[in-house]
Amino acid sequence: MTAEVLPSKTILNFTVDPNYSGKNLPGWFLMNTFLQRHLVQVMHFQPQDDFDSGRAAVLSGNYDLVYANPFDWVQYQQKLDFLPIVKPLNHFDEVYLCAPAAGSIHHAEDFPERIRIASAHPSTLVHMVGLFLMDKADIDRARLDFVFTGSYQRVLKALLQGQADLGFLFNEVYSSASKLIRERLRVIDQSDDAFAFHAFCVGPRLLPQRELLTDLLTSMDLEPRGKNLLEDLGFSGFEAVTEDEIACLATLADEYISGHEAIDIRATSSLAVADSAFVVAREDPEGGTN
Amino acid sequence: MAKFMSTEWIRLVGKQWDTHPEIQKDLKNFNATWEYYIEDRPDIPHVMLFCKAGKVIYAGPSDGRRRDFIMWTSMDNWEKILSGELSGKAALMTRKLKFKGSMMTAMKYMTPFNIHLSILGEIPVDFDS
Repeated sequence: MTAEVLPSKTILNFTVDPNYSGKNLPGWFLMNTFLQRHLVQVMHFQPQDDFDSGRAAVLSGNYDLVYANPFDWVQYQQKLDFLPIVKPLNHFDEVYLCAPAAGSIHHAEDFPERIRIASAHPSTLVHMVGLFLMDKADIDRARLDFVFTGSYQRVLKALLQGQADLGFLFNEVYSSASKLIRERLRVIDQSDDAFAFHAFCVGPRLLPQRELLTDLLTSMDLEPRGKNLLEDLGFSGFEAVTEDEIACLATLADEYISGHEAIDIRATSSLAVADSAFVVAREDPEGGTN
Repeated sequence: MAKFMSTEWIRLVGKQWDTHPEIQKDLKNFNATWEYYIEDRPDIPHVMLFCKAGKVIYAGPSDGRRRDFIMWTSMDNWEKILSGELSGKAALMTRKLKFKGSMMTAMKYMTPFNIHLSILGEIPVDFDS
């Protein structure tokens, strides 16, 4: 395959979701090396401390390649013309609703009247799905007091230090935590949606090489060095993202970020919600649904 | 055997819904209307369900009331979805099942959404209408 090659002196910048800033960084530095070698391109890897600084850094336009969480990659696509190209194989973003194992919460019935919840950031899919889990347990959202920690590692910390009754944890963070930490947590509920995913996204400067990069990432599992690297990062492989998946998740993110709500929130919450917050399939004034 | 997307068929769907306590439990806080139609059969009228607190309280022709969701696709894709060849999630993600309404709600209720599609598939149906 032929691909347009950037001038050899161009230095590309690569970053990953802030979720990875506190763990497995050596693996991501090795990924950077792997990509540099195969793209024959100098690439600088820069981890991020938290969601706000990570988003701000990418939105400032200084990055060319990002491994981003779903609601962030939708933003990068819409605001900076990034393109999501590959996602982890058979691997989706799910949420664990956790409580400290040493505490008295075993089920939703045990939740205190005011519930302190540690969540990394309100503008994440993990937060949205965490709210869904609370709705499913018939918990009035008016009972929830959030502590936004900026990262999942700090959600863990808040739980272990007793600063929160519950935490919304990204499944990868829970699964990759040490046995010692997992033993100090109790999983109260978890999502099983298999719907949303992180993705590698390429920025405008790297777009001409998207096919090369897609081929490289989706075939990593076929060579020993790539396979080892995938194992280090906790993935079995990568597969291409489709346009339909992008459109579907963009719709979901738009609804959530714009403050729309699931249509029945008023059935389980005493929070005031305006009619305008609801999305319904009312007749389209421009010609119906076709 | 009921013809697919007929009034008879959607009423049987409504009755079949009553035999699934799990979906009624999952949707106990769910009140919504939704409509179905066949994209490549404009001659077949649209049908709809109205679910209130998990129970279907209306199953019949689309009667002009506000619809919270609209789902439509080709006859071929309906057959694949109802046979289980295509899962609800895959149908949505690949946009083989076209969907208008809150995607957040669809995701929130993905499990009952899939049960609902399997209920549609439980009704013996004649697709050659």
